[in-house]
Amino acid sequence: MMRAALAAAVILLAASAATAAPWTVDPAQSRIGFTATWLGKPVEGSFKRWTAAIDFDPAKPAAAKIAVDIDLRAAATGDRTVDGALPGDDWFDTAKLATARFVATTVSQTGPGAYMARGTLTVKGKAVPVTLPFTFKAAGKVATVAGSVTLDRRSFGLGLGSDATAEYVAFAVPVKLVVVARQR
Amino acid sequence: MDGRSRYSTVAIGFHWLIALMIIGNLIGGLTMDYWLDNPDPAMKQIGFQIIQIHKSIGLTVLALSLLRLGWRLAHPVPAMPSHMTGTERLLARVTHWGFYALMLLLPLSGWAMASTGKLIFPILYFGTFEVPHLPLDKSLGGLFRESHEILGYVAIATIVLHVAAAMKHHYLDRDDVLARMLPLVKPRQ
Repeated sequence: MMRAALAAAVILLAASAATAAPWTVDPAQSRIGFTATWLGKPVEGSFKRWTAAIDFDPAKPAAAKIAVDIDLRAAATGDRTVDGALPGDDWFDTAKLATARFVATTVSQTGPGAYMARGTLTVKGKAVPVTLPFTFKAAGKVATVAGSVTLDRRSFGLGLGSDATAEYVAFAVPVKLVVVARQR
Repeated sequence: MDGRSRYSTVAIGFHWLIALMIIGNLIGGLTMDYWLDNPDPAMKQIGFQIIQIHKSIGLTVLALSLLRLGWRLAHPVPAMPSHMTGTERLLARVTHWGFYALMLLLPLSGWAMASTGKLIFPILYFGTFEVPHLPLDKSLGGLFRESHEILGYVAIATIVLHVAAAMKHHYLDRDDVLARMLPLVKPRQ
């Protein structure tokens, strides 16, 4: 009995230590969007399904733990031609690996309410170091995080068979994210 | 009214509908490089749109041609004029059956090309439903592309021959060969 209580206490303690400031994302208000450029025209899209494990205390950014899993099958631009092409083997190749993952390794403060997350983004099995500047605004227990980063599709081997010279699809893909989360 | 010397309304309908679509697609195919090789992205965009329409028209030609082939096999065509020589008859038959082969092979090679090309896009039939790609090996892409182009030129040559023959029948032989394929025109008696 004593032992069980002790074990439970240890587990609880460990759990609370691992998640010092956990957040729950509100998917309805959050968005990970991207802008592909097709023949000079922007094609706006977003990922409809993703999950994030966020442990972030704005006062102690160095202790932050952020991991985001994005379902690449849920990339949607509203253009059926584009959406139909994206899962193909030359692009996301979702038949092989449907999840992209961002893991922050270092988070540091750069100004009031401004932070920088350095980490690794893995798409199509290719891990690329990514620096994501973001802002953090809290209102009570609800916080809004906004960030953007421009990725190069070549780094992840996207569309190299179809268009290796950016004749149709630009190399640069700006990614914008807005995350609304509630502190647990 | 001599019913036997005239093509049926269905045959006339098939002929002109498919003819229009093939000519449209040949123009699209011939001007494709002009659009796609243009440095202006807006021109490339037009080329890309033309390709999408080109695919839908090609698939329509394929479907209509299968129906037309069925109709052709089930319904006798009017007899050739008696003045035609053996060589002329043979040439006419080869041209006509050649057209059937082209009406099926041109769209099929295009479909195969679209299924194995460098840029793979879903084929949306006039922007509506998706037509699946043919399950073909990507390494054959170049071959299909070549065949599609060559067949296109063969089609142009065959059309030139076909139109020249129709003109010869109409203006030199003064028979009803052209008239019996024209809608709303009564054949010469």
